[in-house]
Amino acid sequence: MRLKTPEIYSVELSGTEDVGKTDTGDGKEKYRGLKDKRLELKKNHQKEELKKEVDLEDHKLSIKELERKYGTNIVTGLSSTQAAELLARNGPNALTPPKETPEIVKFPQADGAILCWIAYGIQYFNDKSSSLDSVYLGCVLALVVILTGIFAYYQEAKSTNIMASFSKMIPQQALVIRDSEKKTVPAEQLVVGDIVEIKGGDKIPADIRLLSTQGCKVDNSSLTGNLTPSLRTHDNPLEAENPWNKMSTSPVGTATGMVINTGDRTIIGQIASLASGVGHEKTPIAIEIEHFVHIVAGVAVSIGILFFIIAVSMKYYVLDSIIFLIGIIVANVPEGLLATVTVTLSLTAKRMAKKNCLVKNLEAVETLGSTSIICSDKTGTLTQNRMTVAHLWFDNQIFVADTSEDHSNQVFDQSSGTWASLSKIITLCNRAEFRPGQESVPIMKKVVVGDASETALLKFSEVILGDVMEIRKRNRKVAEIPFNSTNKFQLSIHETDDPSDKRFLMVMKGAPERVLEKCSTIMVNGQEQPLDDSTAEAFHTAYMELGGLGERVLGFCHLYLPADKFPETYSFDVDTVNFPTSNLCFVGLLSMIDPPRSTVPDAVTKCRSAGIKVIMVTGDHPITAKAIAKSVGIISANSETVEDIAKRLNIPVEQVSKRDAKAAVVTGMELKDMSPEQLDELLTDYSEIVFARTSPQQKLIIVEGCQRQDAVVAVTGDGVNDSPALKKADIGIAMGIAGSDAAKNAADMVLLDDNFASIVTGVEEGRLIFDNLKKTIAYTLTKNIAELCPFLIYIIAGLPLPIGTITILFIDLGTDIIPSIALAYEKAESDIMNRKPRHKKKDRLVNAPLAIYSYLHIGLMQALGAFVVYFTVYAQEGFRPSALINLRVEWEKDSVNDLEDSYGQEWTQYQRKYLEWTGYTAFFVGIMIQQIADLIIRKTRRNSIFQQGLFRNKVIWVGIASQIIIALILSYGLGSVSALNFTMLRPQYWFVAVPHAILIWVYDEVRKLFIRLYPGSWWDKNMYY
Amino acid sequence: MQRLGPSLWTWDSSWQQAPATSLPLGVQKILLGSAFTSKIKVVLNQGPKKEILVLLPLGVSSLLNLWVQLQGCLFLGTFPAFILLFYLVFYGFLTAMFTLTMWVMLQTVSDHTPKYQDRLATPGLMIRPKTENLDVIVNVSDTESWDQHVQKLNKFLEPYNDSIQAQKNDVCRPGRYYEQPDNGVLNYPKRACQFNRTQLGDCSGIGDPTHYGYSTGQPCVFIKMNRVINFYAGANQSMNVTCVGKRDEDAENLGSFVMFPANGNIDLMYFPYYGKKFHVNYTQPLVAVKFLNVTPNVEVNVECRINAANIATDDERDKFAGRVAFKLRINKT
Repeated sequence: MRLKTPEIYSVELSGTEDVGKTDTGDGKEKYRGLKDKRLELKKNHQKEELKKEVDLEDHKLSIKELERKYGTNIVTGLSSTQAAELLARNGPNALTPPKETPEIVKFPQADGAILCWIAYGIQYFNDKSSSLDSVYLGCVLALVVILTGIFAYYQEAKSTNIMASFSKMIPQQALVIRDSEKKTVPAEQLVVGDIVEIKGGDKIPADIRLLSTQGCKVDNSSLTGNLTPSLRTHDNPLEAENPWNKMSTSPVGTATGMVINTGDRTIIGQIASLASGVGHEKTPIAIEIEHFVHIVAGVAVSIGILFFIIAVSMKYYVLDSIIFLIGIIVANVPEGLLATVTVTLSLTAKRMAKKNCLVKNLEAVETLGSTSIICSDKTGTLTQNRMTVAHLWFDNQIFVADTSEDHSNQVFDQSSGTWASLSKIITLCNRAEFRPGQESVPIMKKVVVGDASETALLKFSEVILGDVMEIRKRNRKVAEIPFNSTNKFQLSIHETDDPSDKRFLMVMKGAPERVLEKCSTIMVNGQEQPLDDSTAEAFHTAYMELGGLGERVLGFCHLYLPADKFPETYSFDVDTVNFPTSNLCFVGLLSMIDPPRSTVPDAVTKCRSAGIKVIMVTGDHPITAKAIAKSVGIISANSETVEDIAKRLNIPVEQVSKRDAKAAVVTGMELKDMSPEQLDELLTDYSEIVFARTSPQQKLIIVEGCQRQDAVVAVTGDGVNDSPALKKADIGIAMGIAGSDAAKNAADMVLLDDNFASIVTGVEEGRLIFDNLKKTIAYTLTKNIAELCPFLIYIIAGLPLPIGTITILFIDLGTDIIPSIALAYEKAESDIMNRKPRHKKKDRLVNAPLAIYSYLHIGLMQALGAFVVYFTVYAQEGFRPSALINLRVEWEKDSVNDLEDSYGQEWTQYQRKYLEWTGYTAFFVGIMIQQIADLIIRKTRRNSIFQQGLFRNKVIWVGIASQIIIALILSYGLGSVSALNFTMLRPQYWFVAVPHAILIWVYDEVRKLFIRLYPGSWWDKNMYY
Repeated sequence: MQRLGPSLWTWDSSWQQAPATSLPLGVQKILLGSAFTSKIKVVLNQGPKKEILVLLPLGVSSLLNLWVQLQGCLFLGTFPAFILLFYLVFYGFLTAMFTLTMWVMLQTVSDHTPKYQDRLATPGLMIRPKTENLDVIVNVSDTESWDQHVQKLNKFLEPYNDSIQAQKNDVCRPGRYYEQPDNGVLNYPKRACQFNRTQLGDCSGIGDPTHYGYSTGQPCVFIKMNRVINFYAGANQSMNVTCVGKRDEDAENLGSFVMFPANGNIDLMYFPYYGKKFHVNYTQPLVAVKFLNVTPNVEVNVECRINAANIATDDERDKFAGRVAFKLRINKT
């Protein structure tokens, strides 16, 4: 990744300036010293600036003003020298790559490895023939550290490809006018004031202000995220037609424009640097693991140092004391845990991918589970992302159309004559057509050429009337005025399909009020009636009602042109309008909406019961947003906004007590004027919030507001504009189908089916994995005590060492790995979707009861059980327990080759060493057998194992089998490899620890029983982890 | 404020607002009166006084919490001291359990013979005087350098004094094992065969002004074979100890030596050994080597091994199986 950067990005001319912008972490780059503070300030300043609204005035200026502002000429362009100067001053037209500092995860065993080598070094100088044990150990520890580091680096490197996707979108060449000549230059060399020409299919090389265009359209959707292009000239440059933004593509036509921004100063560049400038928060699980590592490291180091001091004061050599220290640290650090957690998370990630949640960042798996607020997009996520006819109004009645995904049953009354006329207008006054060659495709899935509303109408009429194209053919079109934003209507004139009727039919659709203006009659039950005040009133009521539902309303009217005035041969001229366009007959209204996905209301309810707040953030109109929010349950049926209450009680909005309202609809304009405190208040006061007409920057502000409430925030988004918010969110969720690459890159997770409901399944998996990780960690921590106690006893009581450090590593990285992963397959104990999301600061992964219960209860039992096996081996070989006490010094002396045991027999050094290894193996087997019991009890935290089902999780049994098989291989297969310190253990010793294993099981069942019997009691509080 | 409900739910702020402070004063008095719950006292101390005085309605949740609290008290109490008590009982139980299993285990171990002896198939050899790195360094002129060896040897050889041997041990027939089978009835203490100090000849140290030859630079080193219970050393054939210089130059520097008993023989009658408990006065056979003219001021590596039919002396890993290597250095000025 880092090697490639020079190819992708050009030389940075303004290096120092860029550093501050792309800094990713806080305090990561401390080495920069004095410069740092200044850069920090600059960076913060810049961030603030970016979060403000993008402020471009250029689209409002005239061409003359522009020329003056940028010192250019639209005919001759810039001179080459000017361009070179500007290039030197402003830097190339390229996005600055983000700077990444790799962070190697440090685990305490790094120190262990170094200590080992130091110890060996001292040993070697003292005695050239000293054993290589500490070297082996050091190597293994170093290997673990290195692998862990590589793994962490790999994880981090994956997240750095965000800029790569931006850079991929940069066009290579641009056609530019300089020195009155057309030149092709690399897009990177464009400067402000350049006049560029764009052909159809080109990507726009920089932010340009259009000067002239020939039928050129631009697709800005990757920037604005709105799929229906905004047609109005708006104050917000993102929504304005002009200028065009870098990276947009122009599918058709040609255009000339003036470059007004280049490189990082383009809107896309600002968003890109915003996205990378937004520090990605540490994931909750990373925080938890760090917390856990702190606990473990704290315990390890403090016990280690304590016993180092004890050892030194007991007159042990300092070198020996260091070796004890290493032993204690190795015993205490769960070496395999990091790998286990990663595997566990990736297993869940795989499971989630099957449910259409593709997780990019493994840690995000759990983040989703602790999510307490979801900020969801409307379009595409909550809705089906296609306009659909929802309501019709004719004959003074509102009819409901079916908006489900397949339009299967349209049940409104189709017998009225008005419907016949209306359906004809809908069919004829429509330019949209099905793309040919889709006969076998269901109507709703056919691809249509035309805009969203016309598509909706076409599909609607196709479903009800059948072959629309055939109907259109029978009613030949003779003239047409297409829709434009000044007229706000569309008109066409057709021959009729009735051969006896020689009249022309003029049909019109458009904005209802405009259409009504042109009408003098209205059709009721197929009969024309004069349009009087009462019918106009009825029209307005219906219009308001449909508009109030957040739907896009269209009015329809028609007129049969009298045959005497307009004979068959009459030539219609749409420019001079040689036909009447008033006194038409109003037929009806029809309203359309992008309907919610059918699975969403259910998913929102599930979120509710799971304690997750769903906030809608959309660029859409507040009324539409509110309507959709209501229909999917984001605003529940019985809750009201302040405005609703005001309307109901008929009082001004100001008089309504804010306490009474549960829901709020906030627009971007209101949000702009809010202080962070007011936003906080808003977020805490209302449980149901809809943000409408928001800009991408505001999305970021909303996310930050939510995060100030200590919430874990999930954000969904699809456009490039969403990427800062996606990055800022605790978990960014991009849409797999509609989403842009940049959004997918910034996100932690990609929803493959763009469906909100998939998030809920993800949440469930995330919560389960948190519970299961608790179990895994409890399982892993338990044996640490059993590994630690031998060292303590060895130091204090002087027994021959019960278990060696290498043997410990074989437990941590060998027998225990598969069982701890197997716990990830455990099913939930109760309905995890019925409890609140965990509080990220209070519900820790590793809490006091977990640590205490694992260390001081089960861990201690395990240690005792393992000691029984150890003592058994020694006693049966000749050393009774009493003989072992304070034997250490003699036992370990190489020169003592006649050490007497309890029976008067004498042992050589090697004979003792072999017995010691047998002791290691015995202790190892003792721990292993009890870890099987530990694994079984960890299946549940509250329920009895028999409630959970002993055999339901088959993987657990695979884990147990693996444990036994690995132990068998180590003892019987590798028993002769002296470096591994394993020996062949007599078969009966494998069963010595079984009573202790059973005790562990019984004890834990009793614990769970009391927890269930006395919820909230002392026992529950101290024993439930 | 303490948590009263199950920990899962605590993040919602409404939960935290329902501790005991919302109880009416009457109930609190009762709680204070029953006074075994120090935690509730803490709650009252923490709560602002104003809130305690304002009588809030007795909510269902606070009732529930009270019930939960009392349940907890009734069941296990809330004293911090209770935690101590709990761990006392718990660890007491664990100790008992451990002791029990250890006791059961020790029942499987016999008092007189170990259950397994697989590790001791080949007895090791060892030298006396015992030194830190198996090196015998003698500065002839420096009395203190060898005096500690002499002291050790005196002590080591004391049980071999003829008087003690005659008093405690039997005279056995040489050349055959001295077996004392139990024949179904425990037959102990078992008798041991005499190994008289005088058998060590010049190395016996009896009336020896040269202190085992250390004062003259002709030191005696004693070789002994590790005791192994029920081991029939030599498989009914005679065996002896031989010593050589480890490398060629060592052999040259080693010079001549004499062994006591002659040829370094070890008699079969000292076997088998029946263990510390049974074979009370057992004195293991020794072989003394007196080095007569070791090249002075040179370190000499000596290796002694036993030649016996059933004792392998070529174990790669165990350098002391049936053999012993030590360093000898005589410093003369």
